[in-house]
Amino acid sequence: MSVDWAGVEVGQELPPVEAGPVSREQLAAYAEASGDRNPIHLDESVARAFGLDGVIIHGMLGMGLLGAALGRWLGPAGWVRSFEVRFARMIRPGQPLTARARVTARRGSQVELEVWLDPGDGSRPTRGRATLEVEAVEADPGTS
Amino acid sequence: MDRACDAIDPSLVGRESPPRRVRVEPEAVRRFAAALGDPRGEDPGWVPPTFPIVFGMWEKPIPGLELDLRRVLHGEQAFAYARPLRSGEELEVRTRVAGVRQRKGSQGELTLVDLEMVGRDEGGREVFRMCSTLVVRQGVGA
Repeated sequence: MSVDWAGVEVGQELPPVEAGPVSREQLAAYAEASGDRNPIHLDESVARAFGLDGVIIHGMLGMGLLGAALGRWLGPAGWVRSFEVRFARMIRPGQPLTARARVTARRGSQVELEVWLDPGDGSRPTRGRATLEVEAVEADPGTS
Repeated sequence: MDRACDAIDPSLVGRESPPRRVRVEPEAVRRFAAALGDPRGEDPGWVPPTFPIVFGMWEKPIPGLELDLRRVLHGEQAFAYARPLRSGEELEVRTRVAGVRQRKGSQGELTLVDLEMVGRDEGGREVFRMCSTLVVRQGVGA
């Protein structure tokens, strides 16, 4: 479901991508695949002993869900030039999550996005920016 | 309480890891993408943009920097690419301590550590740069 970038305008939201909820099995799979076996993501008792209400998802798992959404929006033509987020709030397994993005700027073949995870309560626990190279885009100075 | 043994020495700023060779292992890319539910995991032209985290910059990257990961929360993360990563390619990576700051939090003293990894190709050209801001909660835990 890649985006037709030729018709995308500043201010527009991209089609939302279902990104959650994250299960405990997915936490374990991500821990193995990433090498981040920090027990605060896997072991309730360790998470509680270290000041949390229970296990939380890896920040990088949440960012990875947004990264996967970037890949869907881009399609085969483009690539990610930059991608940065702030982990503003913790995310627990089981929370619903939708990956969302809004176009904030366009410059030639580059599209800048505001990106965030939406747990359905209006908060943006993981949020940031991405710059995409959209090779199929042709600059059209007449319409910007 | 004396937490001196957990304190991170600000003099570590600027210290750099020895260079390491890493490979964008196709099987590791597939496994990583699958764990994210990334539908492009089988696409040979796609490496997830967060994949360089696999290169392990938090695990004893730098002599003298000891992180107790149970006390660590991830504050911020950034990736910048000169070009997309290519499945199967080899890179040389180095990690540097870019900053150490102290801050007061609701659960006590926090140390913010900025780590930066740079990956270069065989010609020495920079391919990617990634920055992690880690929040070390000095006041929690046993």
